[in-house]
Amino acid sequence: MHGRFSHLAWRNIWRNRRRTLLTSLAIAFGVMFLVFIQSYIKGVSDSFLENMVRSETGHIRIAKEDYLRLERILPKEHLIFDFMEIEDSIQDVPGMDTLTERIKFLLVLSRDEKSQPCVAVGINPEKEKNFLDLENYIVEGQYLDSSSSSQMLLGRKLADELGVSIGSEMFVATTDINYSLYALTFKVKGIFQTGFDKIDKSIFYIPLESAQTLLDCPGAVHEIILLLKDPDAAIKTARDIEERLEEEGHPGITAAPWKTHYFVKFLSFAKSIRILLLVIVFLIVALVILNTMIMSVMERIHEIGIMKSFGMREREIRLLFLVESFYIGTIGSLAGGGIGAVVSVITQNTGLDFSAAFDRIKVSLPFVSSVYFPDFTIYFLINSIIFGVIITLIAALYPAVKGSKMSPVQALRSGLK
Amino acid sequence: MKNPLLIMTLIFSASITGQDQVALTPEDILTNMSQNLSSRTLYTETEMRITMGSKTLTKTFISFSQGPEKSFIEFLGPQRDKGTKILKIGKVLKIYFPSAGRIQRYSHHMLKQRLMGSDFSYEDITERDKELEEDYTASLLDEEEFQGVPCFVVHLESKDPQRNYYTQKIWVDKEKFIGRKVEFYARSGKLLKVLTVDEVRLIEGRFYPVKFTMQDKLRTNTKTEVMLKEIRFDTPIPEDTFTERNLLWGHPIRYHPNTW
Repeated sequence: MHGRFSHLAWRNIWRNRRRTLLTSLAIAFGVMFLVFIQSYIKGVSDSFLENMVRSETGHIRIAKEDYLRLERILPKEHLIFDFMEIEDSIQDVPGMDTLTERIKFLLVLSRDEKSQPCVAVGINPEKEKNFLDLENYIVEGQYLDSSSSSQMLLGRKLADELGVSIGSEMFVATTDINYSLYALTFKVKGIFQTGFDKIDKSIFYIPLESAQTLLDCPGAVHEIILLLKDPDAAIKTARDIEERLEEEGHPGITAAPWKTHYFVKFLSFAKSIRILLLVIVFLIVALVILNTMIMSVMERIHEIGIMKSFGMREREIRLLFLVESFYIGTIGSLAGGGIGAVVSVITQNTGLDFSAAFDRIKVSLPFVSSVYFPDFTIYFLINSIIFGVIITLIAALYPAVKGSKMSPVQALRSGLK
Repeated sequence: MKNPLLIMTLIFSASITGQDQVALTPEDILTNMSQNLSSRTLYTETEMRITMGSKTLTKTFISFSQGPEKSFIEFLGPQRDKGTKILKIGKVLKIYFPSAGRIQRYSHHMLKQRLMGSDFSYEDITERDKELEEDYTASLLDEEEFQGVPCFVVHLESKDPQRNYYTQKIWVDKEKFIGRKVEFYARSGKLLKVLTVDEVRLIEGRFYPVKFTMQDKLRTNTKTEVMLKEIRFDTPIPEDTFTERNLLWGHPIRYHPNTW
């Protein structure tokens, strides 16, 4: 009997091609949107985290307690003077992948009459490649090399703001840790564009030794940044490191796992908003499918009357309609899922550029990119297709049950209205 | 003079009024202070001791100023600061950084910044009041002792509403006409800084504070003590002192008053 039903259902849905195509289209559109929006949201939140970890926190950040406490004002004086020793002693911590060190301080970068408040970051160019891979984002000039300590990398937006190009001489003046005025000149070696507003607009990179010279702190750093093989092990590993440092006599030094960063705390709040957003999107898609399906089945109630007059049983009628809906739901969901996956994968590579919109926002938001890369996973495709099919079936159930319970005459009449 | 008693009484009462200086108006007090403080030019050699919590930094510099507008400072120590020079003409501040061999020009915003971590701003160090009575309206608040010295308590209100320290409350030494303590207030009435004078000396016929301490009340646990090692009033300062050329090439020895 099932074989006969499925055959009949298949023929039924193609009897009115236009209706079937329109219904499938609504389902396809909904499912496509679900696949894409999930990929997009995942891409956005992953990009926040990835960028935060690579540019700021690593998986673990070792620094003076006071430095982390006052981090927002980047106090110059809270330095780790024995960082080599610390790096030696944590080298064999289980799960360690790689590490680097940084010096950071605030200053006003000026050129001619223009000036811009910035964060100066002193980096080890080689080690930094494993973190924020600036080399890949260079759009003009080159990455820092070991030929000179007076090289500088800066972001596209900062360069434009100050009217700077490759080879321009930049004058960097600051007060050092003993409040002496000190300045060095740098040559712009490369201009990068990461797409992350904060980095492109307000950070410049110089070699670590030059940063140490500027601050008068040879051999000292503000932060040692670690990447782990397993990011989820950060809290435990951080505790191990702190214990080890305490045993070896490095007081006042903290190992902060990335999940304790204030921005991650903000993200967990953002996560509940994200879930709410997804629930709303799913509900809207469900409503679109429900509406379309109910309309399309209701339209056919008079057919139920005819079937009943031919002696079909209620159960058979319900089954027939459900099988038809299953076909339509499956066709629509597969098509929509497919298109959604293709769109997600394409934009995953090209990125979605919102820089025009972001340019209007004058403040640079931390870790916020103006170009987003959706992150598609097969899981999004599967859940969207299943959701599409199930909602279609639920949508068909109500009119099918209602129609099948009508007397043939009632059904015929209501269909004629 | 038939009545010697009357004469005695007159003389006696006159000397009493003289001692009490009742006749002094706030403007007179300011004029007297200005006579001590103002000079056409000023040359000083200064040691500045900055204390921040447990940290103490000592910086030495020489400074030249001419009128209220022009000022030139060159740091002599510590080694890191040696050769750093600051030129201020009007509201324009130029700093020479010996490490980069370059002059950087700063806008007037920089004048409000702390000078090398001290409790003084660039403005505090480089700007001199024209004549107190010209810049401020004064009123006499009280008379009281400050650290055992009888003082007038004078309230000054700036005639220029843009001025950083809109009002000042000064404890003026009744005898020497020198401020013993100054409280600097913002226009909102917030106390910004407190200056206390620790030592006054008679130099070239005038009383001048040679040791004083400034405390920025917006920061905690900091103070800056200043000791003037050498002071010359109205000595001729070479014309090219207040020039960019001097920022770049000048040498402190050349300007030492002993070699002039």
